[in-house]
This record gives sequence, C-alpha cells and structure tokens, in this order.
Amino acid sequence: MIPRPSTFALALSFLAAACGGDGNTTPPPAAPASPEVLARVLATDPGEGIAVLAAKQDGAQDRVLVHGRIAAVVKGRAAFTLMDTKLPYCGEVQKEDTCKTPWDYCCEKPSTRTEHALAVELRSADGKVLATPSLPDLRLLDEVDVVGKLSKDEHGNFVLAAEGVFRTARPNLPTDLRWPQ
Amino acid sequence: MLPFHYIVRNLLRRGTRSVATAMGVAITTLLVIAMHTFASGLGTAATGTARDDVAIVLGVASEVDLVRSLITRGHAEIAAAAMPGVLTVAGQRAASIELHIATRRDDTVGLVRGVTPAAYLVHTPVQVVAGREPRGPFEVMLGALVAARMDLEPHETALGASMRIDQRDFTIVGHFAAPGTTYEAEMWGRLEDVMLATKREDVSCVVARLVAPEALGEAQLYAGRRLDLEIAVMSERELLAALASSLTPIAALARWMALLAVVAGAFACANTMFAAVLARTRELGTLRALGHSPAAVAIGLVEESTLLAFLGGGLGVLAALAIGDVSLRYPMGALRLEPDLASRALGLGAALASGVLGGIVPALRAVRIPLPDAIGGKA
Repeated sequence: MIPRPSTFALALSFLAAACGGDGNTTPPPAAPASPEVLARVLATDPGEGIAVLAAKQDGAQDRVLVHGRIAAVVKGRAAFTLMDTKLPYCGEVQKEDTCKTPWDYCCEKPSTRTEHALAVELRSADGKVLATPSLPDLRLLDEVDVVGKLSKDEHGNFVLAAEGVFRTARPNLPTDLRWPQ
Repeated sequence: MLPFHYIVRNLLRRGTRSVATAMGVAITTLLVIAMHTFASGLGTAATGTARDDVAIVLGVASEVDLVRSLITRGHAEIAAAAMPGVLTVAGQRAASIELHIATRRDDTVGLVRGVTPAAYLVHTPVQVVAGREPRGPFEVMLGALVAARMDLEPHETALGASMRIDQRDFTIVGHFAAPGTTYEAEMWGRLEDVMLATKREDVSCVVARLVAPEALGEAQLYAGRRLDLEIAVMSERELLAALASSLTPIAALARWMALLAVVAGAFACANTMFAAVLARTRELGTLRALGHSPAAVAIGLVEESTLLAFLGGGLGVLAALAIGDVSLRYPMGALRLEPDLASRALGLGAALASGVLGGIVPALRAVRIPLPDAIGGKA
C-alpha cells in the first residue's frame, strides 16, 4: 500500500524549494559611480565619432571623438577597452552563437581583437586613472562616443584619455548571459 | 501519550520487517551523506583556498578556462617581468608562467601543469611530502589524488617509476599534498619539458602573487593598456568562482539525488507503517476505546516510524564512519570525500525526516477508521 501522493508532493515541494539556481544571468547591481567619473558623462550627443580603427590609423591626436563598443571594464577603475563596432561580438551576426560572454569576442582571433581595440581611461588632474565602484550607467557592449586625447605607447598600443563619454546605444542581449560579478 | 516501551515493543514484534526498513533507511542515509559530502567537496575544492592576492593572467577570450587559455611564451614572460604589483621574494618575482594541459592515458585523463621555479613562491598550499620537486629534464611530481584521478596502482605512482605524458616518459621524483585544493589531482613538471612533450609553443597563464589584494587593479590596468600582449587579468577568487559555477549543475544533481534518497526512505517507512496499521487495526481501536485520544495514537505511530528511521540513520552514519575518506574523480579534477560532522548530521536529519514523513499518512489513516470498524478489525 502506498500513501496518498499529495502528502509526498507537498513534502517534495518544500524540500525542492531549498534548491536555488545560478543567479548570474543579469548584470549585478553596481554601486554608484564616483562623482568625478559621473562628471565626465556628457549630457548630449557630442556628434558622430570616428571608428576605433580609423582613429588608430590617424595616430595620436590632442582631441578626437571616437565611437566604439565597451568590450572589457577594469574593475574598480574608470577604464575600459573600446572595440570597433565593425568587429561583431559573439552572437551579434550569427544568432545561433549562444556564447554566454559575448563581450570577450572569443569568436575572433586575439590579434584581430587587439587590432580593433584601444584603451580608454578617465584620469584625474595628476594623470592617475580614477577609482570608481562602477561606470555611470554603462555596461559591457554598450556603444559609446568618447572624446579625449589619443596617445600611442612604445609598444604600439593606443590609449584615449577621456574627457567625456556619451552612450549612444545599448544592444538587446539574451537574458542568460554570464555577467562578470 | 502512549508509553515509549509500547512503541519499542511494537518494533520488536515485527523484527524482520523492522530490520529491513532500518537497513533501507541506512542506505538512504549513506547516500545523503555521500551526496552532500560530494557537493560540498566540489565547492571547497574549487574555491576553498582562493586568495585575493593572487592574480591570474589569461589569454584574452579564454572564457576563464585555464586549459583553453593561450598566451604566447614571449608575452607571458613580459607580463611576468613587468606587471605591476607583483610580490618579490628573495629577489625573485613571484610570477609563475604555466602550461595547463590534459593528457590521456587509456580511458583516463590526467591534468599536467608545467611550471617554473617561481610556482613554488605562488602556490603556497603545495607542500612536497616525499622526494623533491622536478629539477632535471623530464621529471614529474604527483599530487596526492593523481592515483584516484587516473586509476593508477600504487607501484605506478611510486618514486622512481616512469610516467608517460603524451610523447615522453617522465620520472616520478616527488609527491605533493595541498589538502582541499584542485592541485592534488595534478602532475607537475618543468615548463620546458611539458611544452616539449605536448608539442606546445604557447603557455596557458601567468600566476602572480601580489603585494596586496589592492594591487589587482594596477595589474588589470596594465593588461588593459598592453593590448599587444593579448592578456586579461583576474583574481584567483574570481577564476575559481567561475570554475565552481561550472560545477554547479553536478553539485545540484548530487543534492537532488540526496533529496530523492530522503523520499525513498520516507516511502520505506510509510510502507512499513501502513503494514503495521493494517495488522494492528483492532489493537489501535482498542487503545482508542480505552481512552487514548486519536492524536495520542497517531503521535505514537509517527514516533514508531521516526524511531525506526533513527535506528536506520544511526546505522548509516556508522557505515559512513567505517568507510571513511574516499577519493573520487570528477570531470575537472579529483577530490577526497570526507564525511564530516555536518554531513553526518544532515544524513541523520534526513533519516528522521524520512521517518516523520513516512509515519504521518499511515497514522492519520489509522485514527480516521471509525471506532466500531477498528475494534471489529475492518481496515
């Protein structure tokens, strides 16, 4: 003889409630950005920026407006990698690509990634990169215009010391991505 | 309330059935202990020794996977030599260039780590317990769980024995321990030997010990600026947390199995108690006629079921203690299952839950039978 299933179903549901899932599928709530970083957010669109590749081809410039996509963010600092929007992130074109971390451009060769990228830093008056718990209303793969001074180091890397940042677009992304915590 | 000795006597009255049920609960208790130990062991092995002052330099786009990460040897050497915030110990920078690779041996897969001497400054949990670390060509040192990981006999892992790694034979010169970490499932050889044996030109990562956890930001900023090196920097804690999250489905499966074991135990108890109620309908009716309330009779039956489950749970816990530590391999390593106090307590708790759950329904059924029917023996 077996007991009525309802009793066990109830017990099972209580016990099952204890098993939680992985909650890493949405961007984690971030602490507010530091006031110095917030001050660099432009209120209006500064105009049409040139692409990252074009900016690099033009070389170092005292003032340039560059358009690109945020591909990596340095934790705790106002610094990120800006990727040329011509380089598609994983899943942007091939929708069947179900990469959970599309901002790492893992579908591209590292050399291609490097070729299409430059570093963006928001610096204080003494030239140090600003510390901030987060970037102001910016997240990975957002399209931004960045205005600032573009320099090139002895290794051929470009760094854009940003005076202002304006978000121009935010892509619709799948809901099951593995956002960095 | 019914007296306790009445409950015990009833268990003894149907000895064979009681023993069989207790054995069933013992097995489910053992399963619960094993599954919980496995699930918690996975988490501990993955993140238990994670340090905030250790930075891992990976190839960009490696998806936090050390085996998939690739950095050219030259870039790794630049990062190891120039990345800011790295601790210096006795004049040597604590930055270890490493190759992590999986090697197949028959049906098993071994994990090989090619290291430089700086590795011993970085991976401080690793302690050589026999022999020495690899210093000469094609020497290898084995972690304590390599035998479990690769199904090796003791003589195959003895000092001086030969170990085939891809294209070369390595001589085992040492054994190391690093309790509670994933290192223990690994084989360590010199970086250049492992690269030669596996025909690799790139390395996997640079592991660096930082002067302080706060130096991680400087290291990450360096990686962000040096786009030409094609590297990314993350803390060991972050990397191991990502590894642990990839093990989450396995741990969740283990917990579901433990839950099913509890349900199975509850069914075993329920079955026994239903049989008891059927066989003792008249007796239980007589108890009610003598003035024992339906609640007291029901509680007595639940107590009977719980006592039976407790005995089974106790047997299961004793069996877990007798079995002791067990080495087990899983897709990305190996771990030692240690049924600790928390696991044993959970196992016993699960057994008691089985008893309570399994006793409630038969008890309710017993007291719902109209008294004249019960005394007349009609179930």
